[in-house]
Amino acid sequence: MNIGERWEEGVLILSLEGRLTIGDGDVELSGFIDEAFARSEKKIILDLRGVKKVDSSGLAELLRIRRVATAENASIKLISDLGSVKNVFEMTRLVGVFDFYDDVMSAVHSLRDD
Amino acid sequence: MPQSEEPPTQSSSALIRSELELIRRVTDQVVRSGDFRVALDTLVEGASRILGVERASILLLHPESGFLQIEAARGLKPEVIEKTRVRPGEGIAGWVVETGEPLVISDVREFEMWRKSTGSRQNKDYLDYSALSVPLYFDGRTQGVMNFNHKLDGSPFDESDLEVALVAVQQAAVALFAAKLHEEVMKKKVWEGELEAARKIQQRLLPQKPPSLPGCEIAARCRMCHHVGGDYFDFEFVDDNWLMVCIGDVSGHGLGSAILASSVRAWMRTALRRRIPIETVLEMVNDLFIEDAEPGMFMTALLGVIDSFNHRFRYTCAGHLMPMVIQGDQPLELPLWGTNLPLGVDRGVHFHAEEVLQLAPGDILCLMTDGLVEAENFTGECFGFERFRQALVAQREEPVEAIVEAIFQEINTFCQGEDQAQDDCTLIVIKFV
Repeated sequence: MNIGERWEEGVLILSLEGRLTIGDGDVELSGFIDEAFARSEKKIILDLRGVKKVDSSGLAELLRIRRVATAENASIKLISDLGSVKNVFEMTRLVGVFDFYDDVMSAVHSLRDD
Repeated sequence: MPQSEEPPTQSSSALIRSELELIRRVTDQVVRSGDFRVALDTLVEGASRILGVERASILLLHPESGFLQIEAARGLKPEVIEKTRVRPGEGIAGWVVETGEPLVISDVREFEMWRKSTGSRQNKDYLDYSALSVPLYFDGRTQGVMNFNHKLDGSPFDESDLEVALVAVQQAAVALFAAKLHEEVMKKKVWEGELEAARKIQQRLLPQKPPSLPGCEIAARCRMCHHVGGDYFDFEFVDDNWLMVCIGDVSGHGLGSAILASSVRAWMRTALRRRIPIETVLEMVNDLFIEDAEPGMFMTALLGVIDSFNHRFRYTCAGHLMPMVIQGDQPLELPLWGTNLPLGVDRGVHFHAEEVLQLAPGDILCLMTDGLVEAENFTGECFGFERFRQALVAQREEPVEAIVEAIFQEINTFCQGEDQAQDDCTLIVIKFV
């Protein structure tokens, strides 16, 4: 998986391209996120629109990130369009656990108030 | 009605939580240290406290000597622990290991085997004569015994004590099995070794054959994919006509996930034996799961009870695929997913039961994991719910074993080979007759 990194109004945006599955994407994402928290990043957006497939290991990594973010007093937002990836979150009822947005700027603006 | 609709009382809740917590602590010891002796010590201490006994011990058969020797104990003198050697067939422990049958005895003096083995020592070593002894079944045979003596309140052992002891000895077997595989993994020191160990643990936990439930035909199959682990299913009788069925998928991979699945199995069986509502079972298991699991780890699960006499299925879905039902030649319209979070996401979550399904003879109830519908062909297209429904309707007149076989064959054909599977696939088919 490829992960693009950029900042917008002080918010770190990680754009994921590829598969977020066991041994393929979950490990890379984990590394990026742990480095971000080590740098004391407090506002992070994960753009999942380029993710082709997510499995339970991918979901587990996102849940881990959520838990670490809470411990670090940081905010995590997700961007996903309607499709198979969003479907996986719906099926497992995890869609209500994360904050989802349709586009980057909506997510960035939401973080102004956090 | 076997399964209570009322929440458990405070005292029964405390007892259930104690039993579940014991399982969690033992599992934690095994996962952290891989040392089965530490796990067995924890088990003996915890089980003794729950049962309120002064003495408890775990004896294992030593292959070199052929005798049972004490591996973990509470309330016994060091010289007794050191010197005890029990031949299979002699005394209570020897009888239990030879027959593989548990013993609940209100007075051991009435047991011929005990009289033969103890002779004139019978008045010195016992404060009372009630005893409980359960076989430790591991690696395909009885390899040890767990003994309990001297209830602190002076009451004799009874059937509910036996249930606690059976749960404890089951966890002892899991601890030994996991520790044995852990040793092999440490020797091999390769990632594939750990995955293979995890796979062996999970295969061992799965029911080897479907249960026989009056009014129902049941078939089940779990096809494990080599590089992932996590699918799990189980059956447990609540009553003669009431059968618990559980299907789930633990996220992640490796020995930790497999041992966690073994804990979930033990927690669910223990709680269900107390006949508490299935939503409450999931609430208890959820909180324990979070204690034991690595951050982020979760488990989807569907837990239900089949009432074969009234053709009803009551269930709770935790982030798992909803059941599929075929009535006549039509699938019943049900939501694809339920209302509850998976296990392990947040502590203190309340779970809600889904609707009760009222079924009829000829109806088919299907439970599955997402590996089935998400199986992909070489173009990346998924097998999908619609193909699955069509396959089920087409096979509805066949015996349940043939239905399971046909569906797996359809998926293999779609994916162009069983070795193309990317995820575990589990399917349970229940036909009401």
